[in-house]
Amino acid sequence: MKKRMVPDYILKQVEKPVRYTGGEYNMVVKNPEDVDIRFALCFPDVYDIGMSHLGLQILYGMYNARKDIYCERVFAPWTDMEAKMRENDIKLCTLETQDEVRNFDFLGFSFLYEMCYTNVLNILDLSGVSLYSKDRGEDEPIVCAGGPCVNNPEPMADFIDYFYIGDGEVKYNEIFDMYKKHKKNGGKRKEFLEKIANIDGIYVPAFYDVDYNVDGTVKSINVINENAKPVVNRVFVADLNTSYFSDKPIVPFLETVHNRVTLEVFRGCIRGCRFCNPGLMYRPIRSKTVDTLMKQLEVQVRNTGFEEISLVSLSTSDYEGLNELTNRIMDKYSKDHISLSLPSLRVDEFSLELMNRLQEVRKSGLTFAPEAGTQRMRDIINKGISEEEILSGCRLAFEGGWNRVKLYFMMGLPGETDEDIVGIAELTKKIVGEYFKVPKDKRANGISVNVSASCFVPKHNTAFQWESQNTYEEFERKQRILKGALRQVKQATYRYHDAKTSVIEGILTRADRKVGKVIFDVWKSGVKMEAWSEYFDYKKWLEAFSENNMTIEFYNTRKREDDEIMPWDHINVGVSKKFLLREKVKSQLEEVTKNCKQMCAGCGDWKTDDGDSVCEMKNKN
Amino acid sequence: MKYRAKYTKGDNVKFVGHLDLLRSIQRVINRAELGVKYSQGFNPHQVFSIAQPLAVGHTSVGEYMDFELENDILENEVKQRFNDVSPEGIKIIEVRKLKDGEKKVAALVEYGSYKVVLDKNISDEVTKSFASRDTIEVDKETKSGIKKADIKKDIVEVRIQDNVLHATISTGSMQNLKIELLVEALYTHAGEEFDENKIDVERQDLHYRDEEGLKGLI
Repeated sequence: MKKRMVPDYILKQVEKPVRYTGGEYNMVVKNPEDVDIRFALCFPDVYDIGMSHLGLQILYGMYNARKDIYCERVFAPWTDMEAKMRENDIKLCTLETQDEVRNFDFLGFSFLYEMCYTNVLNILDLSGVSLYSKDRGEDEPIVCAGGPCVNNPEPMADFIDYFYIGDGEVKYNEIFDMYKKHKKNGGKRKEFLEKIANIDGIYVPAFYDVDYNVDGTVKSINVINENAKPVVNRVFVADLNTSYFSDKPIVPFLETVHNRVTLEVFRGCIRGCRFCNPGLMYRPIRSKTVDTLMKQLEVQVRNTGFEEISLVSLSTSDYEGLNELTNRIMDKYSKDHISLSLPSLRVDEFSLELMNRLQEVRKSGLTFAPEAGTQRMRDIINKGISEEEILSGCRLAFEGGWNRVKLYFMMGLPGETDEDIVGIAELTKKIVGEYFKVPKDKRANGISVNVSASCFVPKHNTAFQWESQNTYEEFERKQRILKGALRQVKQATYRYHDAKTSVIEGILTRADRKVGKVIFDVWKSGVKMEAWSEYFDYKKWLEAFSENNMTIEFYNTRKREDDEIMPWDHINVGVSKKFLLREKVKSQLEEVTKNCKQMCAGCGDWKTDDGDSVCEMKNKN
Repeated sequence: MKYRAKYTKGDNVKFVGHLDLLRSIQRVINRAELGVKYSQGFNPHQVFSIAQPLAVGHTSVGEYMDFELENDILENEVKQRFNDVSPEGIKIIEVRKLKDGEKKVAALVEYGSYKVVLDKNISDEVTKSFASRDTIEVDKETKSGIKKADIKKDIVEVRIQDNVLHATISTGSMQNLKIELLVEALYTHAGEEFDENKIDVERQDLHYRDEEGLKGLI
């Protein structure tokens, strides 16, 4: 019988046991005896979520392409399994070999959202690995983390040995080569961290010390180890056409969130919406050619047998070759009953021809994201879209036979008034009006509009990083206003979430190192799986802040001065602070910044070591 | 061309649920590029069906599926191409082309034979006295609640050897007995406590009955 983390009779008692047993098609099988480095790659949420993450598949394939490394996966066990593990004193294991994570050389986390931080601590604990970096012994794994959240690594700085800032494809060989040598020589963990501390993109938080002013703001961030750099530069892939792509993605047995071929079209975003963190964090703009994509797609489709293809990027309708690409995909794969889906399209780029082609195999609803209800507000956030464009895009869709539309908005944006909230309902009403303008015989019967308004979180490394977040009460009040205003649009359903999660996310995204203790205390009180609303516990967060003599207001509602040192200022993500400040001023003036295709806004240098600019848009302009 | 395949669900994949298994097999068929036939209509799907769902946690060396291919491909080639790209544990043992008018495998199946590794010692005598009872009453879960039912008629054979139970019981769309119910009844008869999580079940084969007796489905 196969070796398993827990005995079969326990697996028979938990929900979806296949989350823990591995063995999926394209899982990499190696003999651990034959490798020098064992890497446990962890997505700190349940399997079904983690396996949908493209980045995980890339890292997994890329690391395993090296003969000297065995990279294995580990996920957060669901609460039923965790209870069984704790009851029976079972330590967390990887899926591949079902070996205990604590015996690995590395334990690497992907930080995709802040609400996973308590899970990270829980996984360390379930693995039997010391939670605090300073407590880790020589025989414990090196704990590292990457992903979009690590551009502000500070709240997790005490728990992580090193952060990897930027695209994973760039520096892994250097790090692993150094580790191999280091391991052979029997070096200490600190020596290894010192060696990698001067690689671009590597941030070893223990080598920095933070001084605070009496008011709690950061006074200075000081290097306390001579191997560390004062500023850590984010690293990025220069050419996505030649960088690693996963030719054999794992095909899960379980129905995961995205169970399909995921084709990354480009990285970066030309739009520069002022609220959006990924839009800046994945710059510069680098595309794959249509030929590259078709080649990669063919390999992935044949190696997986998936029946659906999804194009991903931050704004797929901005991809230059989109029409050619979708045409070629449809021509090649429709006959094999493979469908193509695009996540969400910009309403101003809506193309009936494109959508009709997409629907050849299956017909589904449309999703648009106007983000704000009034033009003034859309200008403040630099959405770069007019009401006319929204309405004509919707009209085109209705004429094309669609009658289910999902609209995404935000509330709590800087400079927002109650009129802007009511504006969401008014815009929805106008959109419904467009449907009724289409002659009866030309439109599908009955319209439904799904309005979703999320609570705005000012993110680090955006033009709004200095801004105040709305309080919970303010969010609730605005939700009531919108609910009332939408009552007059009977074709619309309004969906909203409790604002409490957004409040905590608002704290964590701009947190400093002091918040690490709060995260620890919240975890210690039994909180985990917080991306799942049933497990999120707002009260525990408030309690932990007050027990540590800290206030949440300091982090979320406090407006920062322009010259305040941000806790993440020693991490250079590539987009300059000057640019962000310029954008902040323009937002207050309600001025729009042109998108990168129209004019370069000079957000960053984007130079490689050779001094060449990598940004496609910059090079074009 | 219509085909029937006998395949395994090994230890490696025994926790894969029924619907997940169906989807996984369809993806194997895609990867094998066998040119599977699709149904007509608004939402085309592969022309594909399996005999009888296997419970999560059970292994099997005797599962069956029917599928239809656009072209006439040699039986051995179908098997080879499927097994080349299937996950460990899901392997075709045998393939046969179906003749016109043959019943679908799901309509054909009536009985299943099982091998159960027990967690308690049950003697041969106890099993024999169990099997020779006139009625064997169990609590059966139905839509309208738990009901007493006599499962005697659903048992074709039950015997024990080295603490491994071998049983052939109703496993069809008309008559169906959960193997756990049989083992529980046997434990009760033997005065042992039953925990369904502690036994290991493997389906050996599926059958239909004709004048001559039980027959394999392929």
